[in-house]
Amino acid sequence: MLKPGVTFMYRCNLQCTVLAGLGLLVLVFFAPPALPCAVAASNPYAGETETLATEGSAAEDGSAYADPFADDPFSDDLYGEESWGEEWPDPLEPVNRAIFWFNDKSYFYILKPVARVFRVVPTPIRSGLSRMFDNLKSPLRAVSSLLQLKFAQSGVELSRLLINTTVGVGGFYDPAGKWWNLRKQDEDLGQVLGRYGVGEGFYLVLPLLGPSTLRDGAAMVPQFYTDPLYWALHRDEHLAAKGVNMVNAISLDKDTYESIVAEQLDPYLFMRDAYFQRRAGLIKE
Amino acid sequence: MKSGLTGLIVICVLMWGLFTFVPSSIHAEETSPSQGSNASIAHGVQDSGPKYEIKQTVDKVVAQLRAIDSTPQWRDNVSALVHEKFNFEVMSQGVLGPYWHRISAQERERFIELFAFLLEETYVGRVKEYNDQEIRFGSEQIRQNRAMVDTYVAMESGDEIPISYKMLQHNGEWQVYDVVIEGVSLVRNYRSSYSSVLRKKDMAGLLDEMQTKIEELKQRLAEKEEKA
Repeated sequence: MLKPGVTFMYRCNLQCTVLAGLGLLVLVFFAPPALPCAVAASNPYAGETETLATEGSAAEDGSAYADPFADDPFSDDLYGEESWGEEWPDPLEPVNRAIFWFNDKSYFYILKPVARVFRVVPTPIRSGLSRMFDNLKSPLRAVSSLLQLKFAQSGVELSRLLINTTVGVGGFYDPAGKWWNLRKQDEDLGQVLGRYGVGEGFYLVLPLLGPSTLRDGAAMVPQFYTDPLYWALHRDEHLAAKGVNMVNAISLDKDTYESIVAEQLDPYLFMRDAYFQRRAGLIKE
Repeated sequence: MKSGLTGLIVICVLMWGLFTFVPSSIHAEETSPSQGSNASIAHGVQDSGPKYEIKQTVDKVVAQLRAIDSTPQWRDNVSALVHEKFNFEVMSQGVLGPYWHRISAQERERFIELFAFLLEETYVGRVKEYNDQEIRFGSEQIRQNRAMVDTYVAMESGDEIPISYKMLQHNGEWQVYDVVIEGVSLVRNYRSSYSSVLRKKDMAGLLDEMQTKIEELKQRLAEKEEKA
């Protein structure tokens, strides 16, 4: 089952710490101090609040609510004309829609029925399992924070990894969050690229993995190697673990996708916009 | 030699973790949206203001949804609560953008009505699924006649889903004009998909599509209730 000569936990811990240490080394020796300056210049979302400044066009309407967004830096302009109807880049829309259709069918006919069966496992165990899988992403989050020079955040992630892997029994519990109020820092390599000014490219729907973009999809390749399970398990076992993770996650989810399909005129457009908005928000943070 | 190196790395990492421990826990308390110099931030619920008002509504909605079995008219009650607090006119204006000025008063009225139904369904449906989870109220930011109230829904996995309410003061009362779930603004989201529909069809076409969707939804709800 496991590679000979190493126990699972030891291997996991070692890989995690080594990766975190490597991140540290990269920072100390290779981090060019001028990098963050590039962010504002080329990130298409960095200047969003400025470029979407209110024009006061709603005032002509004579409505009582005319232009409630004027001079508000923490809000965007919902009434301005220039921001309306902006399209997310999606040159592969026909292909994306085909994969979306495939994912939709896989969800309703395979993943969801399996997840429903999986619900016989008591909820506390399933949430524990999902936390364990999530704990394995801590190295990735720590490194991603570090690469964006967010030292405090990467410290939080490292502390979380150390505490939850030991006290939290391999991540099954979350004592770091519960007792020390160390919250998960949602960071990944796609956000690192975005922060340094790499645009999304265009929208991509990946088979089974769902919404992504050229940038975030490309970032998934090196991210793959930050997964401790990749190093601890054989390929087939790793794939199986990923499958379990996915089914487990769907079993815990409360029919989010079903309600999107039921309520939205075009679920594809809804998902696409939600993905772009969410990623832009995460990068801005 | 090899274990020594590993030990060294582990110690480095531990030091790193401890070193950043204190500032990081402070950092976690901060709210990230950029705040202007005159934006006021209040912690704790006072008995007036946007946070207090939205808390009243959310608490009442949750209470209704927890007592579904004993109140057959819960749907009407919840609908009334939502309509009282959500300003669907401002929302519709935000969703339609420039189209708002091009359509007739009847079309506006009809759009508001249909949109309100769809949004209410989405909102209530989501709250209903998670109504056994705890809702934590975060900070409120007020800037003149606008405000943003942060709330967090605790999940079984230990994560928290951030839901922010953007509010507008109208006749002395705070009303919701947008809901931002995990960084995704619902109004922007609807705007994006409705604008795509409007590029291919006219307003009447959009209204028809919305009407059809609502019929489907109603049928689905009826089936669900029959099952239950």
